[in-house]
Amino acid sequence: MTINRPKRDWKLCGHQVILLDEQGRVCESCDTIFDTKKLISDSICSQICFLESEFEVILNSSARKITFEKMQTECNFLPGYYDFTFCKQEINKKPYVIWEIYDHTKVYEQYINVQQITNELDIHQEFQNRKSKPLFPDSFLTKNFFQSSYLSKDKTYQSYLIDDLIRSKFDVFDLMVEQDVNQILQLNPSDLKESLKILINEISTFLKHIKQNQEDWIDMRSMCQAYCLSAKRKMDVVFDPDVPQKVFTDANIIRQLVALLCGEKSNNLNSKLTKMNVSYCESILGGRNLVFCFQEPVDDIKAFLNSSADRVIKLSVLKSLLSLLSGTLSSEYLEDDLIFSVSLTIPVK
Amino acid sequence: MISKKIILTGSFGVGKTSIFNQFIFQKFSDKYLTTIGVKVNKKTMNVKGQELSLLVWDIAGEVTQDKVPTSYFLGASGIIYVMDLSRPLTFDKAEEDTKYLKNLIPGAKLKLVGNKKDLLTESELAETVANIKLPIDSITSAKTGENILELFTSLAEDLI
Repeated sequence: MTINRPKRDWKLCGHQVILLDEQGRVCESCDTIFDTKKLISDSICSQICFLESEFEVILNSSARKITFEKMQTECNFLPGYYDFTFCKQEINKKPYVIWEIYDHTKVYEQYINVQQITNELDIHQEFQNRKSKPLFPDSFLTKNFFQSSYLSKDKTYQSYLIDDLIRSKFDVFDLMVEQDVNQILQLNPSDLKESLKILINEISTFLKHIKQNQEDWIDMRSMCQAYCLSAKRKMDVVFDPDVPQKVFTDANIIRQLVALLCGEKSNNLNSKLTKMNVSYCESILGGRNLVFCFQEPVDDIKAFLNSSADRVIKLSVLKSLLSLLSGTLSSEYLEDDLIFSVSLTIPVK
Repeated sequence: MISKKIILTGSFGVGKTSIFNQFIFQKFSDKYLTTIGVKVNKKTMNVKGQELSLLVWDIAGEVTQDKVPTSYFLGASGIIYVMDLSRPLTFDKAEEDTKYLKNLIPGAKLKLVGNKKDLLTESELAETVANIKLPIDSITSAKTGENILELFTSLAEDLI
């Protein structure tokens, strides 16, 4: 039996499949994330604490397939955040385990930042609810929270985390970095928390869909129109004539992408029409590129960013999600319009 | 050598990762950094003359335990349920959560832990403990390291 690079047509980055025998020895591997030939001992279980802890459990479990999401590993050949799936398989009457590794390090690093803010906001809320009657008014933590700058304002929340998110951790586009970040820090905590919690769910859903391959014929025009309608935003969607009426591709991923792109809650301060152009071209790598160009009219970029920090964060996350599919997201500010371009190569039959 | 899986669980921000880092690496950081998912590390202990490898799972905090993926609990022998003594909301769900965990992993030994002892005065501590409905097995400070080793030793002894 030979395991080749995953057979998916999508250019899925950071995906490795390893066949292990019942002693945890590597029988086959596509070696797309790490080179199993360089492992220093027979059993991989002795080199990864997680496997040392869980391999026997997986072998003895009645479930055929077990998934472990958001595993943080620190061993030198697999450092980062991964989703693991283990599938038991009998080959020539011997038990084997197919171990699939999905490297989601970049996405999960952003997920951590989003969750950090939501947790911090929850704790903030917890202490604020006790503001009139602190449990332990003299304790260090209570003092710390009650004297912190963001509690002095009732409706705004300031945190170095937001600054981190927008400046560096989220790898936000140059366009955003040029803006006055301090203006973006003044946010309504409950609105922000709500948006970020939704975003956390969207990231999880997207990553789940990435692991499933549900190929189908997709009517791109109907789908985009439907998402624009459900987002209740004014949008002019234009398809280039050469985009086929129906595309045979992974329906899950396309739906998720379009939902993330179109489904943004519009915080736009003006009522101008948002435009989306969808074009189609041959890829030099084979397959075809589907390019979404999203043009958002903005009268005042500072005001827009100030009211849309959650949107900026969301687009940054989308950029990381796209990188898992070898896609890209770029942006520019042109004549009062913010233009986001999403490009990805989709396999078409 | 015998290996045992121990999970650290509880609400977010209660100090699970600090307990993990203090036990495994004897390190502490004041900065709160959220955990997503899980990380696993191990430490070998000598308990009653026997070598025991503790495989410790530091699980991301959730408001209630039914939100934690059940796959994380597979094969666990010990559970450390952590609460923050300075935040009542983190022990409000302890009764419900521990009941859920005992049902999910019937054979596992459970320790109920009140962490961040260093933030409270003696009288505040006494008042807090009196207000917690369940009997606390250990009161710890991951910051000072107080009772951390004792907590894991006591659990390890229960597991042999």
